[in-house]
Amino acid sequence: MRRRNVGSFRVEMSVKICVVGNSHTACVKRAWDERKERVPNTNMTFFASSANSIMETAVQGGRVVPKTDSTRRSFLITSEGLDTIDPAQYDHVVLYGIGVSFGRTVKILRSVKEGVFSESFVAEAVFKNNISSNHIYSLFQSISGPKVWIFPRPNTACENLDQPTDMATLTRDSATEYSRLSKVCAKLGFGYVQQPVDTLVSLDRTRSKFNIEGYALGPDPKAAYKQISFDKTRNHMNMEYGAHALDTLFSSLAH
Amino acid sequence: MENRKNILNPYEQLPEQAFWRPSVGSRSPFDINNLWQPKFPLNPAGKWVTFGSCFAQHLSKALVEGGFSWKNYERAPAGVIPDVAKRYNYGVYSARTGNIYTTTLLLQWMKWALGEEKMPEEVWEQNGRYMDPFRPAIEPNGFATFDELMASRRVTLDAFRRCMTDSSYFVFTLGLTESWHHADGYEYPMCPGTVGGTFDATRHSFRNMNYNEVYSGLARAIALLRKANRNVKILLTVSPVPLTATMSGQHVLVATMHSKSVLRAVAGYLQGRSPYIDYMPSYEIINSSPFKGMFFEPNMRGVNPCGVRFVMDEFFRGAGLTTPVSHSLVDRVEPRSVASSESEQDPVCEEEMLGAFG
Repeated sequence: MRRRNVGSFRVEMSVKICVVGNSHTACVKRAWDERKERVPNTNMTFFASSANSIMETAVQGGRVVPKTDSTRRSFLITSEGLDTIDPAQYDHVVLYGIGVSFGRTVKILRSVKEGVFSESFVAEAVFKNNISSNHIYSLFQSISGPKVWIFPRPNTACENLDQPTDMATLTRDSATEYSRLSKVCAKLGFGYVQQPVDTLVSLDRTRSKFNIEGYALGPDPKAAYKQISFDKTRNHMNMEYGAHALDTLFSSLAH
Repeated sequence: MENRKNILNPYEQLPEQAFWRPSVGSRSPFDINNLWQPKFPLNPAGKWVTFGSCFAQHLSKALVEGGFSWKNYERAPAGVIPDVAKRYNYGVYSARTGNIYTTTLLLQWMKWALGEEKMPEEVWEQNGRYMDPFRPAIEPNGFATFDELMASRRVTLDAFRRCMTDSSYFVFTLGLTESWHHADGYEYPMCPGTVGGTFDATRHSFRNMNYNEVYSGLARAIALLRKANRNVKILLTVSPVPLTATMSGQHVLVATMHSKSVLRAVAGYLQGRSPYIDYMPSYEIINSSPFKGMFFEPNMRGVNPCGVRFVMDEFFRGAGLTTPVSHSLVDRVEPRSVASSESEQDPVCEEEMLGAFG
């Protein structure tokens, strides 16, 4: 398969990526809309539904189908016409922003005593860390299909702090934790994508600049991306963050 | 002397609860109460541990909800969501033993935990995963390696030992008389070849334990427990949940009544001869005729939330507490509507898997 450079990253040609997520997908979708013309052979399809409504889904005939009208409408709008996720149609499935953040995931893993728990349990304990991720990850574990990736929701952004005190240490620690989490995630049968290190101010906080004019998926599925609102909660990131997320995602998929 | 003369017979002086008509026959089932007066004080702040057959899982949950200090000696790490913890049987019992259906299985666990006998190294390998024959459903997908399984056993045995040595109240629910044994002398909680493993008629044998065997198992287990912990009080219950399947040759309904009768008789006998053993009549509450089977699920096997609450209300009333679990039985019982609430209510019961063979 041919590869080409996109910015400093290579992506596979003619690759089809399915992104399934919640409100956090908004910034990635917006970044993708800006970029997709420059990546002509990569197709990204988004299936997003706000907050826990992504849980209103089930597996039928190897596909993920919405169980409620509102989730169905969300899927139809965010995917631009599809109400069912058929993993077989894609090369990669990315479960984006579901569950707790990178920093919180690290904390859960650190709290697990070695040699006490089975590796299967640790994987579920660390990644199926809230009701949404428990549901969605279990759903995709039950379907055979392309490789599935977990991309965590962003850490909460700092209000004012935009630079880590020690970037070298943060980079090293982040890489260490990413390596551990990747190994654990593999026990679920999934790949793991790290929150981009250059968006971090610490292992559990995001640089403040990525929260300025952050995007969230609107709660009204009719509006979906048209009504993306600025975020005051410091949980939703902006398009610049979305661009970093895309770069990291493409890099992970290429490996 | 004067009083004695006026009494026609000893029944005259008995309280109302000794008579069927005023305490049962003329009452709504929901007004039947005072079924149990514990023989020793039940201190909610004491260390409570629970083990036994499926029904015991309801007791764990209800004790927590009732504000009792239910102890979990084998905890999931902090931050793990309840669904995941329960899938791996954390918080179901006070240690991750899985269901302990028979009195002899209880004795076996106690001997292993105290080091009086070595736990057999038998494991069941299936599709590259390893199952623990003594806790066949403890890990939903089995263990990754033999070593991982053995490490998990050590953790559980240590936790179970601490349940024995540290608890104030050891609650055990007797479930079955039917049991499966290995030729080497140890017992399985489930017949090999059902949940896992392979059945081998030359090594595996069935035994429907009689009163003496059930009694001996429980009496010896309690003796070991009391040797490890002189102050522990034992609270016995009998699971009202019928057998899923029987190997006895009898109809499953007849086999169920036989088994439960034996278990009930053993529990009653032990309760009657020791000041530190009591029996809580959950079996009677769910199964007796005045309740008309209303506390069972439509399959007439599972106990519905209403039944569990009625049992626990009686427990708390007996403990001298003002029904902390439910103030009004009817008000508090909500219809099951979503999958998540079902998973919270439904006990983990390997024995139910036998239903798949019928």
